[in-house]
Amino acid sequence: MTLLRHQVKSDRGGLISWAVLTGLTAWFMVYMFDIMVSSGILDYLSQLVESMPPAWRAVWGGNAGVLSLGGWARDFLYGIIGPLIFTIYVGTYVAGLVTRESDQHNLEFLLSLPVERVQVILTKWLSLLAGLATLQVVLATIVAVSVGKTALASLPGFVWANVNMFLMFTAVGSLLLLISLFIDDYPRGTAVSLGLALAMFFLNFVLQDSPGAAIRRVLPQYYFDTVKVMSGNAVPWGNLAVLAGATAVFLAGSLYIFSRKQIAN
Amino acid sequence: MTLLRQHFRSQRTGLLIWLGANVAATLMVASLGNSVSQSQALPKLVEKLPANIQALFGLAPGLSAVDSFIQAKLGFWIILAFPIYGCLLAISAVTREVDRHTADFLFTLPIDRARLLVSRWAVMVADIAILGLGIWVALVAGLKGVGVTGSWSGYFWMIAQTWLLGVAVGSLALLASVWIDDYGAGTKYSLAGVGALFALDMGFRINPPPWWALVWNPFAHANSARSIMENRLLWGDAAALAVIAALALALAVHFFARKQIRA
Repeated sequence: MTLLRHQVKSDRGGLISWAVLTGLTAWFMVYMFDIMVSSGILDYLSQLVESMPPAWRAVWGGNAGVLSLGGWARDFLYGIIGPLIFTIYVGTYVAGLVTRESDQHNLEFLLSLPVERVQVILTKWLSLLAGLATLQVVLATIVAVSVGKTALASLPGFVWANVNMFLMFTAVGSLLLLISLFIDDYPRGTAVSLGLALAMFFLNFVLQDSPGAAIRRVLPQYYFDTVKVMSGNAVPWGNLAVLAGATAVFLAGSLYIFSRKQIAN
Repeated sequence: MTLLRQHFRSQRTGLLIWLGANVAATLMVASLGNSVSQSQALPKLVEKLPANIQALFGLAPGLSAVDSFIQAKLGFWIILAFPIYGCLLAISAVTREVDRHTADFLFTLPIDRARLLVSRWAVMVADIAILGLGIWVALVAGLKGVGVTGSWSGYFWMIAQTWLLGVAVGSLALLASVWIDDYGAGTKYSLAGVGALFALDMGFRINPPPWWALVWNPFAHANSARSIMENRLLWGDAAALAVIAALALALAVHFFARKQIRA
């Protein structure tokens, strides 16, 4: 508990900055929707979509795609901007957990304390979860307050989407944590961790229009379908289970590798 | 020249990792070119959209289905990837050395601080260029491989314009890094800055503010669709990016010459 408290205290400043960035970006994107409404762009777009053949109308989510505030938040905040901010956060944060301590020779000191290695890695992992949960709560709160309950297609869907997104990034972070245990150079660790996180984000972005692309199934991002979760009331149990399972496997792998890791003097 | 070669060598592994990942991703994008080229739904839809919405999605009427796809996917990606890579290289130039206490040793060598900084900036410029060139070659080869013809020179100019964006953002990160001695903090702050500027630009595309509120944001000067469409470097925007980069570099050199390095 002391270790966790210490870790949270040292992360506090950075986390507040990320939370402010997430909150401001969410608010700004919602504000831009209001501008679209007041400038009449949305009315024009609505008429255009209504005049389209059904197949084209489906591209815009029927009449309720990006044309509604809820759809806008779903497609932009939960589909692109939010995941992008979280990806950068996870990529940089995870590299600082073990690789940085190793690079700065703080691990030797940490491991000289009467704490087990398992405890050290669990503390680091829990601090990752705490940071992600904080950002997720900030994003959800800003969206819920600025979009409003009535604009959201489904309130339970919105709640489950947040849980789903949190679990997705927990899986991404746990995978990066496992990989970071093999890298002792902090700048290189940052480049690899961030590069991998961004590569996964980009691959999912490219392949999401190609349902046949089997490679997408290995990406954690595949198990967060914003449109499906936020538009309906069904709980995405299958996706949540896969993400939780992947997280457990990556964490177990991290515990195993870290307990055998040779710490260079 | 020795400084340049030395720093280039130290960044080689990172460059190879980024190049490999980006070339693989580009080949994957290109492999979808055949199925995309057979559908004309997107270009027809784009033509009917209001200008603000076209700008928001980075679309341009008149582009072929393949070009629309390439700029929407790859264009969107490199607009993010080049500045992020630029930031990582910029933070490695000064902050990394100070954080690792290797800066003290570096300054005992008979080299000018200005020359040191400019050589590291030049490596950043060269590395982003190599990354861009690799992506272009992979894109052309990938599309030709699946029998699709795209705007080869248009893609080149799209990448060249984005290369300038990466250099401008990297130069701003280099300037900021002069005041940051902690590598972790430097990386986080510069990447958060990239995210904030990118989101701000997306919002401003819907409702453009006056030019003076836009001109300082490097992301406002990159437009993948227009670069492909006009098949040339967008000279006005390229000049703005070059000025931002030059100004940031000049200021970085000025302040770096006066920076106190703690032993």
